[in-house]
Amino acid sequence: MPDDRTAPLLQVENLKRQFQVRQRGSRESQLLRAVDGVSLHLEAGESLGVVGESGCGKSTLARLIVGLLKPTEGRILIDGQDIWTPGAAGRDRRRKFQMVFQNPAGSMNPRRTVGASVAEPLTAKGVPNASEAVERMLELVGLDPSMASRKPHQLSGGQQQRASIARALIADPAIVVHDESIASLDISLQAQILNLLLDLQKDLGTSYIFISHDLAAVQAISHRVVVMYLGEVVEASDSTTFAQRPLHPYSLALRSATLLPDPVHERGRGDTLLRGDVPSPINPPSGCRFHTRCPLAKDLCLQQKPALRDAGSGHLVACHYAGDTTRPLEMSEEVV
Amino acid sequence: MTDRPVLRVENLTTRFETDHGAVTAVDSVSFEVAPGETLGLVGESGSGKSVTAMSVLGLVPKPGRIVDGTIELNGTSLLKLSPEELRRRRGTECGMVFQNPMTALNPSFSVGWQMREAITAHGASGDVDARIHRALADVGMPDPDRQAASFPHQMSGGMRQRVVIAMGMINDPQLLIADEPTTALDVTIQAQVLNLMKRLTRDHGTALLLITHNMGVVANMCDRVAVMYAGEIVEEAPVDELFANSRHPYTRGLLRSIPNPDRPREKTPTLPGAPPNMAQLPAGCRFRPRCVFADARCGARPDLLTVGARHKARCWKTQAGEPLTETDRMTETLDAG
Repeated sequence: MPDDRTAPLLQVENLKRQFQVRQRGSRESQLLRAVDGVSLHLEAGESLGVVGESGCGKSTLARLIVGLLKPTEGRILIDGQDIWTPGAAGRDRRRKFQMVFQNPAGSMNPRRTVGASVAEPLTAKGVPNASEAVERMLELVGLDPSMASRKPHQLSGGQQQRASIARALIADPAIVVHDESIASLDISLQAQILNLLLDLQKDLGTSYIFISHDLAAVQAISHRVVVMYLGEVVEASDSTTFAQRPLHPYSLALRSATLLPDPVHERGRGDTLLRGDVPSPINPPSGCRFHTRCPLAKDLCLQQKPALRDAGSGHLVACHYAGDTTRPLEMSEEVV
Repeated sequence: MTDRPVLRVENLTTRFETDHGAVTAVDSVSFEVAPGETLGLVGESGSGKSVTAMSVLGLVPKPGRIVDGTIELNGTSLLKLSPEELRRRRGTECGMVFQNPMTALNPSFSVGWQMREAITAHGASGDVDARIHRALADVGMPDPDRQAASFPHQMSGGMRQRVVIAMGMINDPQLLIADEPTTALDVTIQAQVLNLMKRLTRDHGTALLLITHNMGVVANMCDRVAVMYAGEIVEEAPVDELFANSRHPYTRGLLRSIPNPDRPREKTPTLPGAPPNMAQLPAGCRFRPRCVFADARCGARPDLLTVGARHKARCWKTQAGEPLTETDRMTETLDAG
């Protein structure tokens, strides 16, 4: 089998996924473009964060990447090879992915023991006796091995999520996709899980795709950050550069909307607010999809869709005006 | 008017009788909310913050029951009122906003119908339609008359929460109780809704009891903060004082465990462990099993005592005047990759 050693671990090319949806009471179905031409890549041992508001397509992207959904268009390559190659070859490639969901209680069978759930990826591979591996994994994620004999409801939310992480890691996956995996946890537990993920990555070399609405959490874990809006990537950058200098007006708005635990800062907060809600992905706005909410939008933005361009050293941005130093990005003031 | 608090809660104790024994979800909680003031009631799940709000509203779900304490709204003790009288006062003097606007609104009736109900149930006077129009315009709804005719499912989450806020404010209450009002919303919408609540409570002089787990929301909205842990208030202080100089190890740990968005791939200090099982509380200080500062004194239960100007804490160490010196083992950093 060919092994392309120059290829990144994961390469997503022009990925699209559409759904037929029908409004209540209407006969006609419409096309919802949940993911609309997303390209990204992930290197071994690294984390890629995907951030965006509800409806931006991030969960659909997660399901596409792990192979739970088939793309309408585009390719997902692991080690340079398509995960949807027919037959055993494709299936084996899809097994290199695991996923951790938002609701740990709902993602485990309530009638089986935690140990049986954690062992599942190994059992599916036909490994006969997984109990030793289960114990080792539970310990690795900071749980007492005796938890293996319990039922999920006997664990706290934080413990359940640790068990989900153990299950995701037990069969030695190349990539674990986290879809809002810390969103339902208390703050003190969120930090514990984030730190655990950083430790595990250092020890095991697993790559993560970390999908969240929480910009601070995404930055806490990611080497690279991708910002999505209405099914498209609007900005992609290494996380240090992104933290220092986000370029897209939507990224800036997300950042400025994030409240900080600092009353002095919060009192000085300008009203850097976005107008209105995310438009419907069924009929996305013309030109730049962000123009209906963008304080910088000009005629050009209504007519012409900006390409995702390199604004310097791999910092990608899809905006006609971002990074233009003659037009400093000042968000207009708006009072609600 | 006098400086009498809008809301005074004293020694509130709310207990749930369960199959696994009695759980005291709220244990001798006392606080006041002054006219026009915003008090944040902060804590993680299970801390008792929502049950406290439910107790004030007289909406404690079965098998829960208020077993002790006093709740005074504008000087009237609510626990002595008949259910009828309680309902009337709650509707006119105290508004409420819950986390999920979809459950707060009835899906089968138009928004206007529901607002009319909220007005007329408490003895309407004057032009009800005009009041609905004004209330919806006040929360920034474009075309209020058209919106009044629409149903909750036809609106976005942010718009629905605006409607819920309009309903909470419609009888011009002196107190608004909001339980996680923006938790279900996207960050950009959260900022809009919080700004709206700030403007409305300021313009109407409404006091706000804000229940939240989000320290950013607290910093943005509150004048004063009470932090709850395992059914008790463990610290209470003006907002600047709390963030700059917290005097309880739990508050301090909670504030430090929020990731800093400007420092990617850096480990965040954490509070070890998890909140206790409320049916099996540890003896002594309830935070002791997670506290890096715990010593022999903590085997006895501390009271909530004054440790500074308008600042109270439930901690032996700070009450003895000892500083909470940051320990290195709370912090670790990881190389930026």
